[in-house]
Amino acid sequence: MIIVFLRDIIKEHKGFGKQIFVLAKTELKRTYQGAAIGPLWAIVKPAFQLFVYWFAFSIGLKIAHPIKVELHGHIEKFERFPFMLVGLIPWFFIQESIIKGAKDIRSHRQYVTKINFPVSTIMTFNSISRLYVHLLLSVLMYIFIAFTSGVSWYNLQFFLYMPLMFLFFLFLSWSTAPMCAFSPDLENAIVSVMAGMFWLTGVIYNSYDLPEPLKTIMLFNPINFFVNGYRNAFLYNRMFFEYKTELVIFLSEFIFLFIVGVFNYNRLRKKIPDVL
Amino acid sequence: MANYFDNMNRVKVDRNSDPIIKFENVSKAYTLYKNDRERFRALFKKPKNPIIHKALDNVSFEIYSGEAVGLMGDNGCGKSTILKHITGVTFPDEGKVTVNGMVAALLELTAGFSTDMTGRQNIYLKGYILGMKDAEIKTIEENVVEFAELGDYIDQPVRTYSSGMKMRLGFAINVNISPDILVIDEALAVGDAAFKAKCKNKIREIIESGVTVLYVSHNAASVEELCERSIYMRKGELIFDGPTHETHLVYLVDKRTMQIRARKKKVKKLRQFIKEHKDKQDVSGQKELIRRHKEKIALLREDLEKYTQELHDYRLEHYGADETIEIEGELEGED
Repeated sequence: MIIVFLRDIIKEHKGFGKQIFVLAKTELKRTYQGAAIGPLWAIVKPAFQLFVYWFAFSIGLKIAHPIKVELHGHIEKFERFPFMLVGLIPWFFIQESIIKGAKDIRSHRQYVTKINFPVSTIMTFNSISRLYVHLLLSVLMYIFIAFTSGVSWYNLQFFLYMPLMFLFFLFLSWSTAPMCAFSPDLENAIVSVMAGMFWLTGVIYNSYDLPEPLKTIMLFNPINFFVNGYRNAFLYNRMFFEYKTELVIFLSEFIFLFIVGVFNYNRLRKKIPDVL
Repeated sequence: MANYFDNMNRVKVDRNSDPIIKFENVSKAYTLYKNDRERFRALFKKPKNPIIHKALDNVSFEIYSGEAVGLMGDNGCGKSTILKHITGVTFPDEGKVTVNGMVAALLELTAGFSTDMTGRQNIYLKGYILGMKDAEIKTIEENVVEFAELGDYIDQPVRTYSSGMKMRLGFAINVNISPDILVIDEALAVGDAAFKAKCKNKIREIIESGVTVLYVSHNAASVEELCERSIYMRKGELIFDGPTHETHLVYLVDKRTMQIRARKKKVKKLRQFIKEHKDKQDVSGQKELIRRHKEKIALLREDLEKYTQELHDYRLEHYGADETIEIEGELEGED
């Protein structure tokens, strides 16, 4: 059954590939159009957030001491600024993907209620437009990392974590976007949860460095997998398979989300035009 | 319901081929939720006693390539729901809808435009949505640009267009993609008088080229002008499917019958009221109302008789006496 459902989604994307990228580009333009510095906002906003967090911790709370991470059996120390920077870059994408992804269908309702449009591609081209911003920020981050920590082969893991992150949150929006089209309550719930999610995720602190059972519970938060994954690639010099528990938990969540996403999308697809 | 369209001597349309549009026992119900909480709950489990609005009730018909078919009926009769099924926006609850061909809908002309793209980019966008290839779109691009008469604006973002310009672009795209099926809503307003005339000519040209047309209108005269065949819908039910003139007469007869029935109901209610309140209050107002309703009913009756007679004459002329008696007997039996 899952294969039949998935075939529908693939069919919707077939022959629409080029258009998805055109739409992603216009989506991007729309986000920043009319602003004097235009696309620069894509950098200014996160840069300011990064500054605020760094200020709050290092100056305000006066905890400038390095962050300790247990790697390869011994403790290594990392400066707070690069640690936060590498964590925040995936976080920005994840936050946007979860909140905006849930609204994708509702905010493009004319494609659903007025014309015969491959609805699942709405989530795809929106995700791609968010990915463009993420790639730009990643390049900027990498320039900083390359100068401070140097370049290493481990950095190439970016090309594993980044696509995985893209897919994970695309699959999530297969569930959330159709459901939010049905009821705005869910949308509000997601926004509310995400407001607190930042502090429950190891973006500005080390999620490994917590007492049990919190440390294990943290492994079930898939956002941690990506935040720590980016640090594996750029700071920790660790391969993705070295912490097996984390990887296995994430992969099972990934598969679960995929199945639920395909199922939810197909369950609701034909009902959406009637309720939107 | 009787479909004696087969009695017509039709030319041009091949009714032995596969129909281009086919509705097989299509039913569609919209669930109305009491409040937002109900709607939220419906995400997870089926609502217990939902309020259901039947938009289509067991509707079946076939339209063949090259036919021009009118859709008649009052507001809320299911016309737009039928069109939505044909354009693929909504899906049936029961039954099956088959559409074999590219549909161009002159309904929501500006639907699907991305306002941040230029007019030209939107031609491509619309083309892709309709499943066309780059090369195909390229061949129609110039025709669209020429027809829309947008000048240099064609390379400006659509958000800078006036609503008339958007309509013109939408219309130009829809009529130039060489569709197999053209869906037209009469309540369509496109630009100034000159452009309107241009649109009418284009539509006529398309119809003459043998494209299948579905035409929705309240104006019987314009339906009769364009379509030989019409379908009359009432409250989600297909009441009649036949030659336009006949359908129109059936519609008039049916409508008068309904109006008389409604007025009679009101009179009955008023009488009941008078009976109950005779001693307690002044009922002369109600009596006056009854008198007025009765006058109206008499007028409607006259109309009804006139149209029934016309319908009868029409049938006599077209089907002969025997068949007419048979048809009318059948209809009466169903009432």
